[in-house]
Amino acid sequence: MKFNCRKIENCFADSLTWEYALPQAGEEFLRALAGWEVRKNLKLRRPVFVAEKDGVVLKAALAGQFVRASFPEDEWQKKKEEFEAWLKAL
Amino acid sequence: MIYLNNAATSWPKPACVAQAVCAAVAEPPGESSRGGLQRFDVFQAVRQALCPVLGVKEPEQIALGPNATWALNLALYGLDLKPGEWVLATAAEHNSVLRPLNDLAARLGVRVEFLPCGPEGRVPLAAWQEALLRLRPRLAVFTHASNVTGAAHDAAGFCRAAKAAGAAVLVDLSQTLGFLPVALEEWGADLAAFTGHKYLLGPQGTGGLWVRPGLSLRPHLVGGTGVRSELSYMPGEMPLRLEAGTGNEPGFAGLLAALAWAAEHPLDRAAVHASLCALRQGLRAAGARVIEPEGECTPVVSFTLPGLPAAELAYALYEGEGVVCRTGLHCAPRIFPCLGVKETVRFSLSRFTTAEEVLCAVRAVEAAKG
Repeated sequence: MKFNCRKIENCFADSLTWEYALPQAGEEFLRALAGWEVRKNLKLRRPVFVAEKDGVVLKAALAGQFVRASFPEDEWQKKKEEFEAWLKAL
Repeated sequence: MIYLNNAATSWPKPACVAQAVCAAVAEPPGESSRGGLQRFDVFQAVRQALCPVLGVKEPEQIALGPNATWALNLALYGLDLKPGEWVLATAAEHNSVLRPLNDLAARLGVRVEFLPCGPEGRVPLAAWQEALLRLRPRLAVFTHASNVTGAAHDAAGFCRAAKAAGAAVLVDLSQTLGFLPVALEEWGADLAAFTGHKYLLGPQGTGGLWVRPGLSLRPHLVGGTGVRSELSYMPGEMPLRLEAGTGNEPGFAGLLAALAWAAEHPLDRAAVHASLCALRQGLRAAGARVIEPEGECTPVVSFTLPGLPAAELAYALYEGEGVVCRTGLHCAPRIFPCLGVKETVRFSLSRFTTAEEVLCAVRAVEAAKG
């Protein structure tokens, strides 16, 4: 899968979050998240989901093509590289 | 979209603000010829319009610049603090005060004490007085109101106490000017920083520093002033002394329009406060832990939802319901241990926020719980 990504700046302590533009909607991307702990919120007008695995947290709108990925502070580079390698392989 | 981030940048603005900015960009700049009577000087007009809002008499004592951070740096570095001298501040300060003070402490050996706030985000006057008498600081600096909780300090009492202890006093008006009454000369303040893009309803890139007549600051930024070019150093007179570089003429044209609009349309503070109370009540009913200061405050509500991280809540509010708010530490990290929370979600209202928007925001929080 091809993607673009850019760091997101926010006001949280030690934030290490990037936004990824994907060629598919969140709902379709969700099917690739086997093994992730997924929480969907369908009560929102535009439903979203949060997925977690090994300290990596993903957030996305089911109908959107942007995914936010937050990486754990102590090994963010390794986790980011692993996540991006996994994304490329999709 | 429901915009509830007015404590960061107010929106919407009165329509005349954008019109004034566009007109100023389209017209020839006024920077090339200064003074006289024929040419309109937008900067002087802004200073004059600000005088009644700030509660001061002399427009020349207002140096205009890009924002409150610029103004606060100008004040904190311009006082020429010496190693070992004390500065008293509060834990409610924004990074635009914390970081310059940390820098002055680390590089020059200036000593700084940040007084802890109560759980509403406010330092009690008695604690302020005690610290002033204990430290005898050269400078006392406080935010008029916390950008995290909205709680306002007793500015008149804080200034009086600082002066009685022999300290210069700097007030950060970023969160209050245009919303709460300000009376700098009556309070006895020495310096006050403000921004145009929050409750003054002006555009980003506008702000300033008021300096008490008779108080001289060392210019923190030096350079061209467009006049007195023969001088090797910055001119001595205010406001030129503190205004190096070309000014933001379109931005200040917008601020001038906003000030004129606000003078014609006085703020109904009681109506905004009623919206604030409705929002607090709705959030409480939705299960949120709401920080609710009593007494004078700005229309800001900080809250958390037990069991849902602030980042996740904010994401659901924005992506899922189109509610624009602020989350995290709000550039004021020292206040959080006093509040007993790690981070918050913040809704901030303006005079334009409707009752329906408040209701929708509360429903959005309900929905965000899942």
